[in-house]
This record gives sequence, structure tokens and C-alpha cells, in this order.
Amino acid sequence: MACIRRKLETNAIKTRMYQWMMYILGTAIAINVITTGFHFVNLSEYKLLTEQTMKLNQFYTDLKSSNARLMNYVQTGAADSYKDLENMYQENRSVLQKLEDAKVSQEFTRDLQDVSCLFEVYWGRIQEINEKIGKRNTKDFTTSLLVEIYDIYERAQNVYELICNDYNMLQSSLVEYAGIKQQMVSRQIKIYYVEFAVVMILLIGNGIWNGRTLAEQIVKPIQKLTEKAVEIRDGNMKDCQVLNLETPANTETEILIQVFNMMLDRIKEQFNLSEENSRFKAELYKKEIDQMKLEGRLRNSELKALQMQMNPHFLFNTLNMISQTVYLGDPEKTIFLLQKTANLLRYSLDYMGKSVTLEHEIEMLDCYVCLQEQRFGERIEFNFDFDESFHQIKVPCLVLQPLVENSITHGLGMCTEKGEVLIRTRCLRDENKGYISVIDNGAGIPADKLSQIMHTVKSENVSSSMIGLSNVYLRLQNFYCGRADMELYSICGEKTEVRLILPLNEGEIENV
Amino acid sequence: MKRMGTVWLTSLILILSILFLLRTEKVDTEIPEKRITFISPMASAGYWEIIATGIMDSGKENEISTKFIGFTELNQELQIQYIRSAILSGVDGIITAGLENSEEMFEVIQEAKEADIPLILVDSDLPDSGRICYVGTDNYMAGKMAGKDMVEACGGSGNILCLVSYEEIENQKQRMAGFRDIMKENDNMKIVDVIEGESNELYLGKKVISFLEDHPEVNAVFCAEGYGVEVMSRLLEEFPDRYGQLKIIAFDIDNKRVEDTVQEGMIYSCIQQDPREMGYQAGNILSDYIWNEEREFQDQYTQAISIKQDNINEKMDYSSGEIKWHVYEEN
Repeated sequence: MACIRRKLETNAIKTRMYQWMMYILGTAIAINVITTGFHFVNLSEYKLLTEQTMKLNQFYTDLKSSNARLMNYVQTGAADSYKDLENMYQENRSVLQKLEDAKVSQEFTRDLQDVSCLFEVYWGRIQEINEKIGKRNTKDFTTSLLVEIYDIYERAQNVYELICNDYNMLQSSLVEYAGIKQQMVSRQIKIYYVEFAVVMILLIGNGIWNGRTLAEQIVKPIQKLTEKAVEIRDGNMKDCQVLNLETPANTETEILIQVFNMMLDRIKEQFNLSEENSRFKAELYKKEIDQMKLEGRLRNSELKALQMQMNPHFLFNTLNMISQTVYLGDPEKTIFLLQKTANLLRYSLDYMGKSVTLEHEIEMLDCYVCLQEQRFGERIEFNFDFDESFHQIKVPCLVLQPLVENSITHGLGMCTEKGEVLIRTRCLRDENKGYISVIDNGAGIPADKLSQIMHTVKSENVSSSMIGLSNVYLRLQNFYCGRADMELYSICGEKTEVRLILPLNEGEIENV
Repeated sequence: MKRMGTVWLTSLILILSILFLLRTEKVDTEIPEKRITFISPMASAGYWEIIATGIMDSGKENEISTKFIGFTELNQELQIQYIRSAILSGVDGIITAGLENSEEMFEVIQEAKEADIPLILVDSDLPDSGRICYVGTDNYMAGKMAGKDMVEACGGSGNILCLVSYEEIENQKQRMAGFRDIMKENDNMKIVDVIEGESNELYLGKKVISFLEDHPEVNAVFCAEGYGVEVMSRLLEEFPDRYGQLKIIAFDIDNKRVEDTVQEGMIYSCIQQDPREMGYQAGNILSDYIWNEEREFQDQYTQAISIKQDNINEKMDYSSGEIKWHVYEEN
């Protein structure tokens, strides 16, 4: 019982709907049953009444016919007639008895009893007649007997008439009773209709109310959920509040809403988390950029420092050399050298950190070479081998001079005679590359050291020994964004080559 | 909670419907074993119905089934026929009124006696007819009472018109006898004439009007039974100037109009009988005969009081019960 009640009390939509349907169905069935019962009862009573009326009629008809029989019997004295009369008597008596079982009214019952007695008297007189007629073929049959018979017959007739009159009374009793019953029934029907209407109205109202409540309990939460969903879709998820139901609905919608709220919370959490994450990432990124900018600036300043580093060394030597020429008392030469030096200095000051055309750079290299020629005299010979087709390309300023300086110091440092430095430019159109080589025929560098040197140069560790090459390499990488390259070749005891590989764009190659 | 409330309400209504509709009005159709029949001269509302009410009440108390037979107009033959019918029906008791003194009546009362069916006469007696007793007003004494009232009303001298139903009817004879005896004691009180109304109001009214036209000396009217007084009260109502001077003594004050006329003093006095007591006593006597096997009975005289204007509140009030009359007509 308890589990049924629990089942009934569950709030699930399905259960509620079943309850509602069962309720409506149940009351409809009950009403139908009552209606049927009501009509059935009335019908049975009506049938009873009809039966009684018919029985009464039958009684009367039989009585009439038996009275006619009686007359016939009195006139003829036939035994068959008497037999018929007897049969009719039995029948009529049974009909009367059956009628007595009918529950019509007190008056009806009383009249019926009186009529039954009268009927017995009637039959009694018939029996008297029978007795007397029985003596017909005997000696007792006299005229006075006949008179007596007629007399009794007359008295029987009187009773018969009384019965007939009472029959009318009985019939009107029945009719009256039928009328009363009909009134009662119609009154009951009216009341029944009113009650029926009231019950129907109540039922319909209740059903509608229940149904509406039920539907609302399903629809309202769904509506709210949908509104929330629209809010989420169109608006800012961050600002969405959780969904709250004021009245407890059924289990399903409660669960749905709970889970929805849970999901909303989680999403918001995730949202916040990822927002923070990206904020952090943005900050990190910014920091990284700042760091890189700083590094860039640093490198710039390093570069500048490097570039500036180069200059005092060379300047010192050149001034030394010029002081010698001054000492030798050659003012023209001095002027020439000073001019060259000035050019070079101006060039490095003006274009420091900037880019120049290769042609310009080579021009300045020529100044340097002149100075060096002056310094080293016949010990070193400078040669040029140019492919001027790409001399219009932009190169950073002062990239060639350190190479040549390297060649002089490291390559030909020990050489006392017949040193040769070749400066060569080549353009490889197919590969879109330009080569600038500085080749000396010095002692060379052993193979293992070669790779070490390149490695040191190309790494960003700026060491004092390879500062020139590193600097050039770094600046080249910076300028060409890593597309340039530096190569070092050497044959021990024969020559050493430092080759710069510069990328060329389409427009920079001229047809010469 | 609300839902449960509606469920309960609806089921309550349904249950009530069931109870109401399927309840068939149980009619009590059982009747007591013993039956008596009252054969009344008239099946009319008023006097006879009040007698019938008394009989019905007695029957209910004594568990005897009562049946009421009556006719639309006074008809001795029919009355006798239905007394005979009651005898043949084997009833346990008969009550009837001995209105007319005739051979046939005596015969049928004898038949009842021979059949061992007790027969009581109410309202008017037929002494030595074989009835077990008489219950009713002492009509002779009532007539005398009326006579005394008349003398009072007329102040000793008057010319009186008497209205009766039929002169042959026993209670009328007795009342007139008592009345006449009083009149004899007073020289100046003369009975001018006696008119038979045959219990027909219109017929009587016609006769009265013409008689009073012809006999202006009439200054008093004695109504020996109810129809007469109805006629007179009607005339008084419609022609008070014309008939207001008449001194009227009457029997039976059963309807409102008569009562009003007495109250106004237009009718000097009304002899009120006690029909309910008649019926009631008759029923009780029969019950004694039936249940207690009593065999010795004495005549019961029920009261008759003279209602005048000043003692109108002593009037006995009766309401008739629901009498189901079996009305037979001459066929």
C-alpha cells in the first residue's frame, strides 16, 4: 500500500498524467454507470407497472368471457362449460394472486383483497348453480329448482357487476400510480440532470484546471529554460544568473534545471579560467616582446659598439702609418692618405648602422686598400675581380673591410713577401645569390680549426679574437634576416677564402 | 492538497448522486389484516370527509385497513348496493349513515348481521335495524337546541321557514321533531313551511328565493342540514340588505363563508356537530369488536354545540386528512 502511495505521490510527469487521465476516465465511467443504473431501475419499475396493467386487463377479459360462459352453462347445463369455467376460475385466481404480489399502493392492495373476496363469492355462486344443475337429470329437478338456479345466477351477476365496477377502481388506481411514478421519475430525472450538469461542470473545470496546471508545470520550466538559453546565445554568458523555479515542478524538469544550472556554472568557471589564462598569456607574450625588443636594442647597441670597436683599431694603425709618411716628408702622399682616411672615417660615421650599395662599399674598400697598400707596400698586393651586375644591392656598411683586415692580419700576417689579397664578386643568377670573396694566399687554416672558427663566428658568443668576422656575420644576419651566409675555405699553406653569400632579389640583378 | 480536495469533493458528489438516484421511493403497500369500509352518502369534502378522517385515524391507531366509498349525490339504492358489496367482500366491519328509513336498508343491515359483520351507523340513526350501535349527534336533542336558539333569536315570536335535505331522512326527521317540540311550547313561533333541498345547493337556492318572495312574513330560517346554511350564507353575502333581517339558525359550520356570517352576526347560531369524533368513535368500537371481541355496545352521542357570534372561538377546528374516495355512480 505504501509503495503504491509512494508511486502515486511521485511528481513525475508520466505519473501525473496517468493520474489525471485515470481520474477523468474514472469519473466518466462512474457517471456512465450511474446513468445506466438509474435508467435501468426506472425501466424495470416501468416494466413492472406495464405487467401489472396487462395482468389486470387479462383478469377483466377473462372474467368477462367466463361470465359469458356462465350464461351459456346456465342455459345448456353442459359439463364442458363447467370445466371451462373451472379452468378460468383457476386462472383468474392465479392472476389475482400475482397481482397481490404487486407493490402498487395500499389502496390497490385493499381493493384487490376486496375484489378477491367478491370473486370467491362469485365462484361460490357458480358452484351452487353447478350443484343445482347437477340434479338436472334426477327427480329433484323441478321448476322451483330452475327458478332457484336463475335466482342464483342473478345474484352471481350482481357480484359480477360489483367486480366489474371495482375493476375500474383498480385500473384507475394503477393509472394513478403510474402517473405518480412518472411524476417522481421526471422529478428525479430533472434533479439528476441538474446534478449531472453540476458534476460535469465540476469535472470539466477540475480537469481543465488540472490539465492546465500539469501542462504549465511542463511548459513553464521549458519556457524558462529556453529564455535562459536565448540569453546565453545572444548575450554575455558571464552575466547569466542561474535559473530558479519558484514552485517545485515535476521530477523531470527539476532535474533538467538542476543540471542546466550546473552546466552553466561550470561553463562560467571554465570561461573565467580560460580568460585568466589568455590574460596571462597576453601578458607573457607582451613580456616576451618587450624582452625581444630589449634584446634587439641591446644587440643594436652591441652592434654599434662593435662597429665602433672596429674603428679605433684601424684608426690607430692608419694614423701611425700617416705619421710615418709625414715623417718621411711626403706631403702629397700624406694628403692623399689623410684624404682617404677622412673618406673612410666619414663613410663609417655617416653610414654607421645604415645600408649602402655594394658599389659604394667597394669604393670605400678601395680607400682602405689604398691605405693598406701604402702601409704594406710591396709585401701585399690587392687585386679586384668584380661582377658588377649586382653591385647595386644594399649591403650593411663596413662588411668588407673587416674581412680584408682579417686576411691581412691573420692570413698574411707572417708573410714577408708576395702576399696577395683578391677581392672578388660574383653573381649567381640562377640561385639569386651574390658572392663576395676575400681570398688571400696566406698560411691557411688547418681544417679542424676552420670549423671551430666558423662555429665560433656563427655562434653569438662575441669573443675578442674573432670579433671582426663575428661582427660581420651578425650584421649580415640582422640585415638579411638570416638569409645571408659566411663561408670559410682554406687550403693549408696555400690560401684562405672568406666568402659572403648574399641573397639577391629579382630587381637587384642588372644586366651588365 | 488542493488536488486531493477536489477529488474528495467530486467523489462526494458522485456518491450523493448514487444514493439519491438509486434510492427508489419505497411505497408501503402492506395493509393490515382487518378491513373495514365506510360507505358515505356523499363523497364530498367537508362534513363527510371529516367523519372519514376520524375513521382513518382510528384505523391507523388500531391497525385496521380503512376504505371509503361515496357518491356524487344522495342515492339510497347505490348506498345499499355498496353496503352489500362490502358484506360480500368479507370485510370485518362496516360504517354507514342511516339516512333513510326503508325496507331495503333494514334488509341489508340484517344481511350484515347474519354475515357476522358489525355495522355501525353514524350521523343518523335507524334504531332496531340490527346495527350494533349508533355513533353521532343526538339529533332530537340537537333539534331542541336549535329550537331554543330560534326562540331566543326571534324574541319569542317568529315565522319560520325550515330547510331540510329530504324529509324522510332520519336525522332530519329527528331534528325537526326536536325543533317542533320546542316550537310547540311557544305560541308565537310558527313554522311556515319546510323545503326539501335534496342536497342540491342551486336547486335549494332557487326555491328559497322564490319562497321568501312569496312569503314576506317569514322572518326566520331554520337550516336542518349543511346545504341549507350554505345557501343562506350565500344569499346573505350577496344581498345583505334583502335578507339581513332574517334570523337564521343552522346546522354545520363547516366552511369559511358560514363562519364569517356567524361572526358578523348574520346567522344567529350554528349547531356544530363533531363529525371527527363520530368517525373516530365508530372506528374504535369496530376495533373493539374485531380485536377485543366485545359484543355489547351502547349508542355514543357525540357533542353538538351552538356557536353564536360571541362564542365563535369555541368552534371546533377540523382539517380533513387525505381521504381516497372510491366514488361510484349509477350505471
